[in-house]
Amino acid sequence: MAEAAMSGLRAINVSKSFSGLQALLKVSLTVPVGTIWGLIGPNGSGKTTLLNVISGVLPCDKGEIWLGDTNITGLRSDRIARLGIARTFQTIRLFTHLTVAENVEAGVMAVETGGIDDRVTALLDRFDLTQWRSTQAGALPYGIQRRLEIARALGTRPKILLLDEPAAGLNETESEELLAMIHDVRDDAEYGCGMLIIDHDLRLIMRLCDQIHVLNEGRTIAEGAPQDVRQHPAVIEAYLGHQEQSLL
Amino acid sequence: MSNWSRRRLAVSGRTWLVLSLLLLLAGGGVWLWDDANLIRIATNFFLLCTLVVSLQVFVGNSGIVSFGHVAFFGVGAYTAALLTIPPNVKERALPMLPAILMNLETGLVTATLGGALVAFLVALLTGLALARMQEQAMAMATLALLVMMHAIFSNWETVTRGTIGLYGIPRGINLWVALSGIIIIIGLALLFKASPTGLHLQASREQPLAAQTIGINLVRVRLIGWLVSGALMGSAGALWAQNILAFGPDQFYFVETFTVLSMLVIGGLGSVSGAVVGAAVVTGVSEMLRDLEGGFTLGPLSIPELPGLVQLAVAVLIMIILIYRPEGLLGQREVGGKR
Repeated sequence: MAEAAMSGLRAINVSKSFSGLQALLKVSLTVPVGTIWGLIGPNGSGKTTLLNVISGVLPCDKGEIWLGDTNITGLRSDRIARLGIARTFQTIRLFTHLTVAENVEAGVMAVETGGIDDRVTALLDRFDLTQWRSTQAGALPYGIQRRLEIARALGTRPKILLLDEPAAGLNETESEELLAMIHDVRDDAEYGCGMLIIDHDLRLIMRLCDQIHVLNEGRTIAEGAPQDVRQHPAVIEAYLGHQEQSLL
Repeated sequence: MSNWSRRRLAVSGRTWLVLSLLLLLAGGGVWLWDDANLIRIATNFFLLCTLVVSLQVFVGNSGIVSFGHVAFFGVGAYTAALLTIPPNVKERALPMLPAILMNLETGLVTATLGGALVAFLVALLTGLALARMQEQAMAMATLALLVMMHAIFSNWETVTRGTIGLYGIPRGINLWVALSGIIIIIGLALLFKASPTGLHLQASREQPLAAQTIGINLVRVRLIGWLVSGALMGSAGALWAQNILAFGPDQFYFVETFTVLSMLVIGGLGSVSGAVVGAAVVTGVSEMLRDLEGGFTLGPLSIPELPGLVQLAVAVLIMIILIYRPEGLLGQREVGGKR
């Protein structure tokens, strides 16, 4: 486990503010390879800001971010992606005029030096996207778009995958399918990686994640196993505003 | 080429074959018809296609409008002129020209490659700054490039002869040379489109942020697209110069920019085939209306001279296309099969 943690993602005392508004304050987090971590908190607690900082979309003001033994603080997002951190977005950001195969290819080509077609075919098969192969991504049903965005990210062979509300807008069946798929990916011999997931569906997060990190107003208020976090007084207070027995 | 997709190469190869065949049929038909005016129109059309396809390489793949590419066209044309005009003509027209240029007299291929090379160098010089800009800023900077290069063409009298322009370029172009030129340029444009850099540039066109987070270096792919497109535009300018034989700086300014961009918009920005179709439509409309521009009679009505009729018609055509087919006639589609 210690070795997995060292090869995974470590955010150390990360702080970020926007024009005086403190979005993150000394947040520390470790995501070992092969584990699924949930990142939860009320609206405006800094979850997406943390993902943006880790993926290089935003620079952090203070603190450090490490991927394995590489300090990735302040690197450009494309460099961070090639080092092994991929992500999806709260609002789906597919290359809508490109086909499904081309979306995956774009990810694969960014890191691979050969065997592109075989890798793309394998990824499309793995994520049940083969029948949509030549369809423009913008014309796909919403649930398939979510799946494609994850397949495209995995095309870069990440060590860590950041998923920003992957179940947003999905119906119950689609959410269940996504949950199963994420579990499979973690344990997959080829695509297995560590994952950090934001979602507002707390039931899904509690079932999916090995560990959960809770933010409120940019600060860490709890961290631990799902059963511990759901009964943590500070978490219940942050979500419900008053003391309850349990969050769920 | 190990990280190229064989599938994408095959698709581009098919498109290239179909487009080449269609252009070859058009060229062959015109040649068999043996009408001098038709041969002139077809030759001009093929040369215009080289411009539009070269522009498409950057604008179509990156999604960033460039108002400055006609400057590369001019660079290519001036380079070809300086490389091909006989020394005795240069001595009269450009007496202050440096000796190294004065004594040069090359053939068609060297002049065309020279045009591409000098345009590439100008693209490198400008692209290193432009590729770092945000999309809208980059588009505006291309406009500055057009104005800047026009100022150089108009004022560097030792080399360009200023506003008077150059003459005495030997004719190197006929129908078949122009046809070969466009077939080669289409092949190179499709090859770029199928390349990993081409795909990454298209991805950056769709979603710049998402493209970066899958490992695409936006500055790098935009710079490469800019350089390839600039060099092709330079070669297109060199071919054009060897057909028109005399030109001045105003032929590389706003009117030409509007003409080439309008062809691309009409055909479809995202498609090499669209660039060819756009050039065909605008050439067709222009040729049909050109005679009417000088005035005509319609029964008892005598219509006076109508200067600007062709540009007006093209502008109206653009508006109609943008209303009914915002992505142009072909949109992202290429002839020759699905992707």
